[in-house]
Amino acid sequence: MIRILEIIKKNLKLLVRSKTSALIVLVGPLLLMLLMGLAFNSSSALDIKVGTYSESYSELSTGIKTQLQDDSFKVVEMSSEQNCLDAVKRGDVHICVVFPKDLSVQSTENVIFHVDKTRMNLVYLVINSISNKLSVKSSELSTALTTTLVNAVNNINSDVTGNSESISQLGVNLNQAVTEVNNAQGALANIQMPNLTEIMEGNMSDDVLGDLKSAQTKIDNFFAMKGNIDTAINSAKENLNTASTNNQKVQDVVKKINDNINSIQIKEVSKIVTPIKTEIKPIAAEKTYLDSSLPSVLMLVLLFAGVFLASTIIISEKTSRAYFRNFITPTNYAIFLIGNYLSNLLVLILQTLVIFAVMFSVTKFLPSSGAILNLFIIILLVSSVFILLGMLIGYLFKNEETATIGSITISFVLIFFSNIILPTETLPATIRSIVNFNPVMLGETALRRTLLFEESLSSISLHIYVLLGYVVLLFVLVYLARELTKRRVN
Amino acid sequence: MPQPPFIQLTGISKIFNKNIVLEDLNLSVGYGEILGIIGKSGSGKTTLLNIIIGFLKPDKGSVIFQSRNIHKDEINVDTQFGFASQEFSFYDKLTVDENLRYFGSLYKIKDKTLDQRIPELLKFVDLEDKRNLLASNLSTGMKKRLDIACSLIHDPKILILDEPTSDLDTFLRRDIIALLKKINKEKEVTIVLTSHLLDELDICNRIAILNNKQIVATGSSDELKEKCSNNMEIILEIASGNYGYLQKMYKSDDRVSKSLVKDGKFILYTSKSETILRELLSEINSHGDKLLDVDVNKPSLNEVFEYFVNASNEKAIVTKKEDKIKKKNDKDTGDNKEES
Repeated sequence: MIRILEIIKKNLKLLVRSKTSALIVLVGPLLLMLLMGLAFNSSSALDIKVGTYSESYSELSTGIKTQLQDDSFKVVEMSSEQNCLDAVKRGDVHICVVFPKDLSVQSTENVIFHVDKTRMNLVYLVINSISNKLSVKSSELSTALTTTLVNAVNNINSDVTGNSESISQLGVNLNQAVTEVNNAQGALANIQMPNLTEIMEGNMSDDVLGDLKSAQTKIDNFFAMKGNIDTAINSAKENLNTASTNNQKVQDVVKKINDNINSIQIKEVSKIVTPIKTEIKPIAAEKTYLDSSLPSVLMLVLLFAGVFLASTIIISEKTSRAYFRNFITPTNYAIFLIGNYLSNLLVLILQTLVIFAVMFSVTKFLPSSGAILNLFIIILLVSSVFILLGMLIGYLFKNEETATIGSITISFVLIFFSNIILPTETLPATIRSIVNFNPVMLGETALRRTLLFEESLSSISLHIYVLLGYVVLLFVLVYLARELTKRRVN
Repeated sequence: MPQPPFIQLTGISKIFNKNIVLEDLNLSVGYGEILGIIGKSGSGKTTLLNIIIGFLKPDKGSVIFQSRNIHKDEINVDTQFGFASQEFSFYDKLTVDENLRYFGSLYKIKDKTLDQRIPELLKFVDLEDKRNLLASNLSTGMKKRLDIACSLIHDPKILILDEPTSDLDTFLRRDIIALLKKINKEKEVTIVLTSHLLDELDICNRIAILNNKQIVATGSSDELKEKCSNNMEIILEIASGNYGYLQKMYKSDDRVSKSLVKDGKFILYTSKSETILRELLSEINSHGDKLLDVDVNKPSLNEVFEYFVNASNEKAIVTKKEDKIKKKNDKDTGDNKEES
């Protein structure tokens, strides 16, 4: 135990007294957190640059541009479509939006987005962000158009409803007119022609006779015209009947229109434009990017610090002139391994504390007391995996240069096949099933679930057991590598 | 009854990637002595030391320390051997005290013992006022002394030193040699050291010459010089300064191994120094020349080393030729048998 303590003391002294190492080890994470704090301590959208081009900007396309131009989007107007595309290729803008000439709601041409799909980690984020922005404008237009439509329908409805009684009354009047015409026709048919001849055979004055004759003539004329009147009445009747039938049809159509309009249940414009309303609610309390990215940041710090520090310490020890003297002492090498491992672990725990201190000072974010112990266990396991990995690299490689290359390569493989750069869901199923055992993945998931969702250790027991397995396996490998390098010396 | 050797190396062979570095090497180290191993660069001195301390395992042979094979008794070796390599073997960024304390702890020495031993040791190696100085800030001589102090922290019985003065100037070399003498005398530590600087081997009780993968000669400085007495050196100076007749006289004389004129003096190497000297004086007289100065020296360690190395090389060449002839003969015999 005393020897282990002496080894730890020696390692820490060497680390602190080497100014560059001390700077990297102690100030490194502080600097990283400071930068991350400045960069990600918000939950606002990204700074996306949008290039736009149109042969002729209309009021609508200018409106969309204005809509995009806010704090998080920077709109750059391009002189040609090719320039716009080149700007995307160069990375000057993230997306190029080409508006049809004189874009209007009547336009049949599409608004085209040009994106650089080679920037896999950004493209979908940009498409999503810009689509969201444009959907707002699209929604506004849709609302305006729908409002006009709904107003027109409402007007029709009120007009139809207001006049349907007049139309009904018209039908009644027409029917009444038909009845009266029938009555008139009947009355006309009942009129008998009077015969004045017998009267005229009596004695009467010439004047009277003359008058009777005149009357007879008029009666005759009247009866002569009665047929025509009857025909006219029949025609009028027919017309009235047709008018009545048509009126009935009009009434039916009006009723149908009325029924149809009344059958429209949703007449609110907002409901018609967006019939399904969505709301995204985070499963944990709303956090800044810094809070949310803490598991990833911790993993990066632990990975790089663990692997690089451990490999550097081992290589420094191996190439140190004092290595030989260590070797010829009666101290078992397992003690050196434990001493070196604990020295690295102490440094990593110190770095983690620095990260949490900075985190707390910037965001006031502090894990709950229940999560702290779980967090400590996970950090301990993850740190152990990376430290032992670094020690293994240190023993397998002969000098600092190759060990550094080895550390960088392995660290990047571990990061690349984790969720930190690209979602692993983009990988084929077979590789994904292997990648799930990547210690970075395991650690990041365990940290996220413990730190952000405050889950218990039992819910991430699989992660814990696999990490524990890695620790045991790596310790054995480190010991074997040490034996191998011992044989190399022999 | 003669005391058994403290360390006994028997039939040691070491091969690195088919390259034979040591072959059937035998060497013994007596208790309390200072043994110097000399050899040309790359002759395998460091390999031999590494085998003695058990850091390297020989491919053949055994190293017996106090009647026990060191490769089966590593802990005993670790605690009884102290080692200082050619390079300083301590941490530059630790202080003198921290270095000693750290290495002391690796030897399981308790803090209390270290509290007492470190000042004593620092006084012994004359570094007591540098105790809290970073090792990197020490001078070269001080670093060497700290290195030796680190080797002595666990009070070893044997101190193995690989080229202890190789990078030091004359004055520092003298200091370190004095320190080694002191360690041997006052602490009764057996010292085995290697060197290619023959002057410093004067402190050694015995010298072993390593050449052609083997120890070709061992003995005290005087014993070795005696062994190569055929290399007695006669230096004479005559008034005329004309040494032509003397050179001519011994040009093809088997008794003379070498003759030359250097700095106005005639130098001649021979095993028959008395006879040759008489002949020389008589010849000078007969030429009417006047003898100004004459000196007869035993060979220097350099010459002794050169002598044994050459002898060993010649022997190796002869052995090689003999082996070749033997092989050829064997082959011919085999071919004749096949033909018949």
